[in-house]
Amino acid sequence: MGLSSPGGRRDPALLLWPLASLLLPLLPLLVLAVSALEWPRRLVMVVPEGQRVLSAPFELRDGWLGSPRLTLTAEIPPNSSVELDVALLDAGGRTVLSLTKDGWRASGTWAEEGESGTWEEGDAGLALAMRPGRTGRFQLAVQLHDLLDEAGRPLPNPVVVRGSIRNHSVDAPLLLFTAVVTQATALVLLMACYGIARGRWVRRSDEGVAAIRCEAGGPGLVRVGVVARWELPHDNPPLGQPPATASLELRVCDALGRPCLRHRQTVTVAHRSSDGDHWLSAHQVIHLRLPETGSHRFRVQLPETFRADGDIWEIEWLRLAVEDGLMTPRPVPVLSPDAVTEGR
Amino acid sequence: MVDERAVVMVLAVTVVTAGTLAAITRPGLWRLGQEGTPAASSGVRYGGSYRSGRWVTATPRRQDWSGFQGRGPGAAK
Repeated sequence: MGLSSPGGRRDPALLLWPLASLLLPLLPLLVLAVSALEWPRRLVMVVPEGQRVLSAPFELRDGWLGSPRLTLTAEIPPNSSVELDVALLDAGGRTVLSLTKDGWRASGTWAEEGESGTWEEGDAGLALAMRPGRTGRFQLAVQLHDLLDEAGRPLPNPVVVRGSIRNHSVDAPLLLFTAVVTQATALVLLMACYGIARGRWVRRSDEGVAAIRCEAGGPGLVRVGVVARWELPHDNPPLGQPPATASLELRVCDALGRPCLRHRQTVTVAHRSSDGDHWLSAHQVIHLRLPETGSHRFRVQLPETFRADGDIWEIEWLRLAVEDGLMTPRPVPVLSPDAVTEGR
Repeated sequence: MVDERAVVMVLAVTVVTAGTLAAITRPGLWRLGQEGTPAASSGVRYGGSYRSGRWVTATPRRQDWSGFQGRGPGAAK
Protein backbone atom coordinates (compact mmCIF):
# COMPACT_ATOMS: atom_id res chain seq x y z
CA MET A 1 0.00 0.00 0.00
CA GLY A 2 2.98 2.24 -0.24
CA LEU A 3 3.13 2.69 3.50
CA SER A 4 6.48 2.48 5.19
CA SER A 5 5.70 2.53 8.81
CA PRO A 6 8.19 1.98 11.60
CA GLY A 7 5.33 0.66 13.70
CA GLY A 8 4.10 -1.70 10.99
CA ARG A 9 4.44 -5.47 11.26
CA ARG A 10 3.21 -8.48 9.38
CA ASP A 11 -0.20 -9.61 10.48
CA PRO A 12 -1.45 -13.12 11.33
CA ALA A 13 -4.48 -12.32 9.19
CA LEU A 14 -2.35 -13.40 6.24
CA LEU A 15 -4.28 -16.26 4.58
CA LEU A 16 -2.37 -18.10 1.86
CA TRP A 17 -4.06 -21.46 1.31
CA PRO A 18 -6.94 -20.14 -0.88
CA LEU A 19 -4.34 -19.03 -3.43
CA ALA A 20 -3.66 -22.73 -4.10
CA SER A 21 -7.12 -22.92 -5.71
CA LEU A 22 -5.74 -20.89 -8.62
CA LEU A 23 -3.58 -23.89 -9.56
CA LEU A 24 -6.55 -26.27 -9.83
CA PRO A 25 -7.70 -25.21 -13.35
CA LEU A 26 -4.20 -26.00 -14.58
CA LEU A 27 -4.73 -29.73 -13.97
CA PRO A 28 -7.23 -30.35 -16.83
CA LEU A 29 -5.23 -28.04 -19.10
CA LEU A 30 -2.08 -29.98 -18.28
CA VAL A 31 -3.82 -33.28 -19.11
CA LEU A 32 -4.94 -31.77 -22.42
CA ALA A 33 -1.39 -30.63 -23.22
CA VAL A 34 0.11 -34.01 -22.34
CA SER A 35 -2.48 -35.87 -24.44
CA ALA A 36 -1.51 -33.71 -27.44
CA LEU A 37 2.01 -35.09 -27.19
CA GLU A 38 0.84 -38.55 -28.29
CA TRP A 39 2.03 -39.11 -31.83
CA PRO A 40 -0.84 -40.53 -33.91
CA ARG A 41 -0.44 -43.56 -36.12
CA ARG A 42 -0.93 -42.40 -39.72
CA LEU A 43 -2.67 -44.41 -42.43
CA VAL A 44 -2.72 -43.63 -46.13
CA MET A 45 -4.75 -45.61 -48.64
CA VAL A 46 -5.23 -45.03 -52.35
CA VAL A 47 -8.70 -46.35 -53.10
CA PRO A 48 -9.95 -46.81 -56.68
CA GLU A 49 -13.70 -46.88 -57.24
CA GLY A 50 -15.26 -50.21 -56.38
CA GLN A 51 -12.14 -51.87 -54.98
CA ARG A 52 -11.75 -52.91 -51.35
CA VAL A 53 -8.46 -51.63 -49.93
CA LEU A 54 -6.98 -52.81 -46.65
CA SER A 55 -4.98 -50.52 -44.42
CA ALA A 56 -1.78 -51.46 -42.65
CA PRO A 57 -2.48 -53.29 -39.36
CA PHE A 58 -2.57 -51.12 -36.27
CA GLU A 59 -3.07 -51.65 -32.58
CA LEU A 60 -6.05 -50.47 -30.57
CA ARG A 61 -5.32 -50.45 -26.86
CA ASP A 62 -7.79 -50.88 -24.09
CA GLY A 63 -7.22 -49.26 -20.72
CA TRP A 64 -8.22 -46.41 -18.49
CA LEU A 65 -5.71 -43.86 -19.79
CA GLY A 66 -7.68 -42.23 -22.56
CA SER A 67 -9.39 -44.14 -25.33
CA PRO A 68 -8.77 -44.95 -28.99
CA ARG A 69 -9.90 -42.38 -31.53
CA LEU A 70 -9.83 -43.09 -35.23
CA THR A 71 -10.31 -40.45 -37.94
CA LEU A 72 -10.57 -40.88 -41.70
CA THR A 73 -10.72 -38.26 -44.44
CA ALA A 74 -11.34 -38.93 -48.12
CA GLU A 75 -9.56 -36.41 -50.35
CA ILE A 76 -12.18 -36.14 -53.04
CA PRO A 77 -12.05 -33.56 -55.87
CA PRO A 78 -13.95 -30.27 -55.59
CA ASN A 79 -17.65 -30.43 -56.50
CA SER A 80 -17.96 -34.15 -56.03
CA SER A 81 -19.67 -36.60 -53.73
CA VAL A 82 -18.86 -40.12 -52.64
CA GLU A 83 -20.06 -43.01 -50.57
CA LEU A 84 -17.29 -44.45 -48.40
CA ASP A 85 -17.75 -47.93 -46.91
CA VAL A 86 -15.47 -48.57 -43.94
CA ALA A 87 -15.13 -51.85 -42.05
CA LEU A 88 -13.05 -52.46 -38.95
CA LEU A 89 -11.55 -55.93 -39.03
CA ASP A 90 -10.06 -57.79 -36.10
CA ALA A 91 -6.83 -59.83 -36.21
CA GLY A 92 -8.74 -62.77 -37.67
CA GLY A 93 -10.13 -60.66 -40.52
CA ARG A 94 -13.68 -60.65 -39.13
CA THR A 95 -15.72 -57.46 -39.43
CA VAL A 96 -16.31 -56.08 -35.97
CA LEU A 97 -17.80 -52.76 -37.10
CA SER A 98 -18.91 -51.36 -40.42
CA LEU A 99 -20.23 -48.00 -41.47
CA THR A 100 -20.91 -45.84 -44.50
CA LYS A 101 -19.96 -42.22 -44.80
CA ASP A 102 -21.75 -39.95 -47.28
CA GLY A 103 -19.07 -37.45 -48.23
CA TRP A 104 -19.19 -34.34 -50.36
CA ARG A 105 -17.16 -31.32 -51.31
CA ALA A 106 -18.35 -28.16 -53.01
CA SER A 107 -16.73 -24.89 -54.01
CA GLY A 108 -17.50 -21.83 -56.08
CA THR A 109 -17.31 -18.07 -56.25
CA TRP A 110 -19.53 -15.38 -54.81
CA ALA A 111 -20.08 -11.75 -55.76
CA GLU A 112 -22.10 -9.27 -53.76
CA GLU A 113 -22.17 -5.47 -53.58
CA GLY A 114 -18.99 -5.09 -55.59
CA GLU A 115 -17.07 -7.68 -53.57
CA SER A 116 -16.23 -11.19 -54.70
CA GLY A 117 -14.38 -14.24 -53.50
CA THR A 118 -14.37 -18.02 -53.40
CA TRP A 119 -16.02 -20.41 -51.00
CA GLU A 120 -15.51 -24.06 -50.22
CA GLU A 121 -17.42 -26.46 -48.02
CA GLY A 122 -17.20 -30.17 -47.50
CA ASP A 123 -17.81 -33.11 -45.24
CA ALA A 124 -15.75 -36.10 -46.31
CA GLY A 125 -14.34 -37.20 -42.97
CA LEU A 126 -15.41 -39.20 -39.98
CA ALA A 127 -14.26 -39.70 -36.41
CA LEU A 128 -14.80 -42.83 -34.34
CA ALA A 129 -14.23 -42.90 -30.58
CA MET A 130 -14.68 -46.26 -28.84
CA ARG A 131 -12.99 -48.90 -26.76
CA PRO A 132 -11.89 -52.16 -28.35
CA GLY A 133 -12.81 -54.30 -25.31
CA ARG A 134 -9.31 -55.73 -25.21
CA THR A 135 -6.04 -54.66 -26.75
CA GLY A 136 -5.47 -56.14 -30.19
CA ARG A 137 -4.47 -55.60 -33.79
CA PHE A 138 -7.02 -54.32 -36.26
CA GLN A 139 -7.24 -53.29 -39.89
CA LEU A 140 -9.50 -51.04 -41.89
CA ALA A 141 -11.14 -52.09 -45.14
CA VAL A 142 -12.21 -49.12 -47.24
CA GLN A 143 -14.31 -49.14 -50.40
CA LEU A 144 -15.56 -46.27 -52.55
CA HIS A 145 -18.92 -46.07 -54.30
CA ASP A 146 -20.53 -43.44 -56.45
CA LEU A 147 -17.70 -40.97 -56.79
CA LEU A 148 -19.71 -38.47 -58.83
CA ASP A 149 -19.31 -34.91 -60.00
CA GLU A 150 -21.89 -32.15 -59.63
CA ALA A 151 -23.84 -33.34 -62.65
CA GLY A 152 -23.90 -36.93 -61.39
CA ARG A 153 -21.25 -38.18 -63.80
CA PRO A 154 -18.76 -40.78 -62.45
CA LEU A 155 -15.22 -39.60 -61.74
CA PRO A 156 -12.55 -42.14 -62.63
CA ASN A 157 -9.71 -41.02 -60.38
CA PRO A 158 -8.76 -43.02 -57.28
CA VAL A 159 -9.20 -41.23 -53.97
CA VAL A 160 -6.59 -40.88 -51.26
CA VAL A 161 -8.01 -41.73 -47.84
CA ARG A 162 -5.93 -40.55 -44.89
CA GLY A 163 -6.43 -41.81 -41.38
CA SER A 164 -4.98 -41.27 -37.94
CA ILE A 165 -5.23 -43.39 -34.81
CA ARG A 166 -4.66 -42.24 -31.26
CA ASN A 167 -4.86 -44.75 -28.45
CA HIS A 168 -4.98 -42.29 -25.56
CA SER A 169 -7.30 -39.53 -26.68
CA VAL A 170 -9.17 -37.60 -24.00
CA ASP A 171 -12.42 -35.67 -23.94
CA ALA A 172 -11.04 -32.20 -24.76
CA PRO A 173 -14.35 -30.27 -24.46
CA LEU A 174 -14.96 -31.78 -21.02
CA LEU A 175 -11.43 -30.82 -19.91
CA LEU A 176 -11.93 -27.23 -21.07
CA PHE A 177 -15.34 -27.08 -19.38
CA THR A 178 -13.79 -28.46 -16.18
CA ALA A 179 -11.05 -25.81 -16.28
CA VAL A 180 -13.61 -23.01 -16.69
CA VAL A 181 -15.89 -24.27 -13.91
CA THR A 182 -12.93 -24.81 -11.57
CA GLN A 183 -11.63 -21.32 -12.29
CA ALA A 184 -15.05 -19.87 -11.49
CA THR A 185 -15.19 -21.84 -8.23
CA ALA A 186 -11.68 -20.65 -7.33
CA LEU A 187 -12.74 -17.02 -7.91
CA VAL A 188 -15.76 -17.53 -5.66
CA LEU A 189 -13.41 -18.90 -3.00
CA LEU A 190 -11.01 -15.95 -3.30
CA MET A 191 -13.93 -13.53 -3.10
CA ALA A 192 -15.24 -15.30 0.01
CA CYS A 193 -11.81 -15.22 1.65
CA TYR A 194 -10.52 -11.77 0.74
CA GLY A 195 -13.44 -9.73 -0.57
CA ILE A 196 -16.06 -10.00 2.13
CA ALA A 197 -15.73 -7.89 5.28
CA ARG A 198 -17.50 -8.43 8.59
CA GLY A 199 -18.62 -4.83 8.46
CA ARG A 200 -18.23 -1.90 6.09
CA TRP A 201 -18.87 1.78 6.72
CA VAL A 202 -18.44 4.73 4.35
CA ARG A 203 -18.52 8.47 5.03
CA ARG A 204 -18.18 11.23 2.47
CA SER A 205 -17.27 14.71 3.54
CA ASP A 206 -16.86 18.00 1.69
CA GLU A 207 -14.21 19.10 4.19
CA GLY A 208 -10.68 17.94 4.85
CA VAL A 209 -11.78 15.81 7.78
CA ALA A 210 -13.99 12.70 7.92
CA ALA A 211 -14.75 10.39 10.83
CA ILE A 212 -16.66 7.15 11.40
CA ARG A 213 -17.57 5.49 14.70
CA CYS A 214 -18.32 1.78 14.36
CA GLU A 215 -17.97 -1.62 16.02
CA ALA A 216 -14.67 -2.98 14.76
CA GLY A 217 -11.80 -5.19 15.83
CA GLY A 218 -11.22 -8.85 16.59
CA PRO A 219 -10.02 -11.49 14.12
CA GLY A 220 -8.74 -10.16 10.82
CA LEU A 221 -7.64 -6.71 9.76
CA VAL A 222 -9.32 -3.34 9.65
CA ARG A 223 -8.83 -1.62 6.31
CA VAL A 224 -9.11 2.16 6.18
CA GLY A 225 -9.48 3.53 2.68
CA VAL A 226 -9.14 7.25 1.97
CA VAL A 227 -9.91 8.94 -1.34
CA ALA A 228 -9.87 12.71 -1.80
CA ARG A 229 -10.28 15.22 -4.60
CA TRP A 230 -9.29 18.88 -4.85
CA GLU A 231 -10.35 21.34 -7.54
CA LEU A 232 -9.63 24.92 -8.54
CA PRO A 233 -12.42 27.42 -7.70
CA HIS A 234 -12.48 28.52 -11.35
CA ASP A 235 -12.50 26.82 -14.77
CA ASN A 236 -9.11 28.15 -15.88
CA PRO A 237 -6.12 25.84 -16.14
CA PRO A 238 -3.65 25.88 -13.26
CA LEU A 239 -0.95 28.54 -13.36
CA GLY A 240 1.83 26.37 -12.02
CA GLN A 241 2.82 22.92 -10.93
CA PRO A 242 0.36 21.36 -8.45
CA PRO A 243 1.71 19.85 -5.23
CA ALA A 244 2.99 16.27 -5.51
CA THR A 245 2.25 15.13 -1.95
CA ALA A 246 -0.10 15.78 0.95
CA SER A 247 0.00 15.00 4.64
CA LEU A 248 -2.52 12.41 5.85
CA GLU A 249 -3.31 11.88 9.51
CA LEU A 250 -5.27 8.94 10.91
CA ARG A 251 -6.47 8.82 14.50
CA VAL A 252 -8.30 5.95 16.16
CA CYS A 253 -10.10 6.37 19.49
CA ASP A 254 -11.76 3.74 21.67
CA ALA A 255 -15.29 3.72 23.05
CA LEU A 256 -14.41 6.25 25.74
CA GLY A 257 -12.76 8.60 23.28
CA ARG A 258 -9.24 7.74 24.38
CA PRO A 259 -6.78 7.84 21.50
CA CYS A 260 -5.34 4.43 20.82
CA LEU A 261 -3.55 5.07 17.53
CA ARG A 262 -2.18 8.10 15.75
CA HIS A 263 -0.52 7.74 12.38
CA ARG A 264 0.76 10.39 10.03
CA GLN A 265 2.13 9.86 6.57
CA THR A 266 2.69 11.55 3.25
CA VAL A 267 0.49 10.44 0.34
CA THR A 268 1.00 10.99 -3.37
CA VAL A 269 -1.23 13.57 -5.03
CA ALA A 270 -1.97 12.99 -8.72
CA HIS A 271 -2.87 15.76 -11.16
CA ARG A 272 -5.68 14.79 -13.54
CA SER A 273 -7.42 16.64 -16.33
CA SER A 274 -10.23 15.88 -18.76
CA ASP A 275 -12.14 18.15 -21.17
CA GLY A 276 -10.53 21.24 -19.70
CA ASP A 277 -11.27 20.26 -16.08
CA HIS A 278 -8.34 19.93 -13.73
CA TRP A 279 -8.32 18.24 -10.35
CA LEU A 280 -6.02 16.61 -7.84
CA SER A 281 -6.68 13.21 -6.32
CA ALA A 282 -5.17 11.11 -3.57
CA HIS A 283 -5.82 7.49 -2.65
CA GLN A 284 -4.47 5.58 0.32
CA VAL A 285 -5.21 2.29 2.08
CA ILE A 286 -4.05 1.61 5.64
CA HIS A 287 -4.37 -1.72 7.46
CA LEU A 288 -4.85 -1.86 11.22
CA ARG A 289 -5.07 -4.65 13.73
CA LEU A 290 -7.45 -4.05 16.63
CA PRO A 291 -7.33 -7.11 18.90
CA GLU A 292 -10.51 -6.33 20.82
CA THR A 293 -13.92 -5.86 19.26
CA GLY A 294 -15.48 -2.62 20.37
CA SER A 295 -16.64 0.83 19.42
CA HIS A 296 -13.86 2.75 17.67
CA ARG A 297 -13.74 6.12 16.02
CA PHE A 298 -11.66 6.47 12.86
CA ARG A 299 -10.77 10.02 11.89
CA VAL A 300 -8.70 11.04 8.86
CA GLN A 301 -7.50 14.48 7.96
CA LEU A 302 -6.07 15.87 4.73
CA PRO A 303 -5.29 19.48 3.76
CA GLU A 304 -8.37 21.59 3.01
CA THR A 305 -6.44 23.64 0.45
CA PHE A 306 -3.17 23.72 -1.43
CA ARG A 307 -1.56 26.96 -2.40
CA ALA A 308 1.02 26.59 -5.13
CA ASP A 309 2.26 29.05 -7.80
CA GLY A 310 -0.74 31.32 -7.37
CA ASP A 311 -3.27 28.46 -7.53
CA ILE A 312 -5.60 27.64 -4.68
CA TRP A 313 -6.73 24.03 -4.81
CA GLU A 314 -9.78 23.48 -2.57
CA ILE A 315 -11.00 20.12 -1.39
CA GLU A 316 -14.08 18.91 -3.26
CA TRP A 317 -14.74 15.79 -1.23
CA LEU A 318 -13.08 13.29 1.04
CA ARG A 319 -14.31 9.70 1.20
CA LEU A 320 -13.48 7.50 4.16
CA ALA A 321 -14.25 3.74 4.11
CA VAL A 322 -13.68 1.37 7.03
CA GLU A 323 -13.85 -2.41 6.54
CA ASP A 324 -13.54 -4.84 9.40
CA GLY A 325 -12.52 -8.52 9.62
CA LEU A 326 -10.53 -8.77 6.41
CA MET A 327 -7.95 -11.40 5.52
CA THR A 328 -5.12 -10.69 3.12
CA PRO A 329 -3.41 -12.89 0.50
CA ARG A 330 -0.08 -11.09 0.76
CA PRO A 331 1.94 -9.51 3.56
CA VAL A 332 0.94 -5.91 4.18
CA PRO A 333 2.23 -3.40 6.71
CA VAL A 334 -0.15 -3.32 9.66
CA LEU A 335 -0.53 -0.66 12.31
CA SER A 336 -1.28 -1.62 15.89
CA PRO A 337 -3.05 0.29 18.69
CA ASP A 338 -1.09 2.48 21.03
CA ALA A 339 1.21 3.36 18.14
CA VAL A 340 2.25 6.84 17.22
CA THR A 341 3.85 6.52 13.82
CA GLU A 342 5.22 8.73 11.15
CA GLY A 343 5.41 7.32 7.63
CA ARG A 344 6.49 8.68 4.30
CA MET B 1 -19.54 -25.07 12.48
CA VAL B 2 -18.18 -25.89 9.05
CA ASP B 3 -16.14 -23.11 7.48
CA GLU B 4 -17.87 -22.21 4.21
CA ARG B 5 -14.50 -21.35 2.68
CA ALA B 6 -13.29 -24.91 3.24
CA VAL B 7 -16.52 -26.17 1.66
CA VAL B 8 -15.90 -24.08 -1.47
CA MET B 9 -12.31 -25.35 -1.63
CA VAL B 10 -13.51 -28.96 -1.34
CA LEU B 11 -16.07 -28.23 -4.06
CA ALA B 12 -13.35 -26.86 -6.38
CA VAL B 13 -11.15 -29.92 -5.78
CA THR B 14 -14.11 -32.24 -6.36
CA VAL B 15 -15.05 -30.51 -9.62
CA VAL B 16 -11.54 -30.63 -11.05
CA THR B 17 -11.00 -34.24 -9.97
CA ALA B 18 -14.31 -35.54 -11.28
CA GLY B 19 -14.11 -33.62 -14.57
CA THR B 20 -10.50 -34.59 -15.28
CA LEU B 21 -11.00 -38.25 -14.42
CA ALA B 22 -14.17 -38.46 -16.53
CA ALA B 23 -12.36 -36.83 -19.47
CA ILE B 24 -9.50 -39.35 -19.21
CA THR B 25 -11.38 -42.57 -18.45
CA ARG B 26 -14.54 -41.68 -20.45
CA PRO B 27 -16.74 -44.17 -18.62
CA GLY B 28 -19.69 -43.72 -21.00
CA LEU B 29 -17.74 -44.47 -24.15
CA TRP B 30 -19.10 -47.27 -26.36
CA ARG B 31 -17.12 -50.53 -26.28
CA LEU B 32 -16.82 -53.18 -28.99
CA GLY B 33 -19.32 -55.91 -28.20
CA GLN B 34 -21.65 -53.57 -26.34
CA GLU B 35 -25.26 -53.48 -27.52
CA GLY B 36 -25.92 -51.07 -30.40
CA THR B 37 -23.35 -48.90 -32.16
CA PRO B 38 -21.04 -46.01 -31.29
CA ALA B 39 -22.29 -42.46 -31.55
CA ALA B 40 -22.46 -41.51 -35.24
CA SER B 41 -20.81 -38.38 -36.59
CA SER B 42 -22.31 -36.33 -39.43
CA GLY B 43 -23.25 -38.34 -42.51
CA VAL B 44 -22.37 -41.73 -40.96
CA ARG B 45 -24.63 -44.79 -41.12
CA TYR B 46 -23.67 -48.00 -39.40
CA GLY B 47 -23.97 -51.18 -41.39
CA GLY B 48 -25.24 -53.17 -38.46
CA SER B 49 -25.26 -53.26 -34.69
CA TYR B 50 -24.23 -55.47 -31.81
CA ARG B 51 -26.80 -57.85 -30.42
CA SER B 52 -25.88 -60.18 -27.58
CA GLY B 53 -22.20 -59.50 -28.18
CA ARG B 54 -22.28 -60.29 -31.92
CA TRP B 55 -22.03 -57.85 -34.81
CA VAL B 56 -25.19 -58.32 -36.87
CA THR B 57 -24.99 -56.85 -40.35
CA ALA B 58 -28.08 -54.90 -41.36
CA THR B 59 -29.83 -55.65 -44.62
CA PRO B 60 -28.00 -53.63 -47.30
CA ARG B 61 -30.12 -50.66 -48.27
CA ARG B 62 -28.97 -47.87 -50.53
CA GLN B 63 -29.85 -44.56 -48.96
CA ASP B 64 -31.26 -42.02 -51.34
CA TRP B 65 -29.33 -38.84 -50.76
CA SER B 66 -28.72 -35.96 -53.08
CA GLY B 67 -24.95 -35.88 -52.62
CA PHE B 68 -24.23 -32.20 -52.09
CA GLN B 69 -25.22 -30.94 -48.68
CA GLY B 70 -23.50 -27.54 -48.84
CA ARG B 71 -25.36 -24.42 -47.87
CA GLY B 72 -24.07 -22.54 -50.90
CA PRO B 73 -21.96 -19.46 -51.44
CA GLY B 74 -24.25 -17.11 -49.46
CA ALA B 75 -23.63 -18.99 -46.25
CA ALA B 76 -19.96 -19.56 -46.94
CA LYS B 77 -19.09 -15.91 -47.42
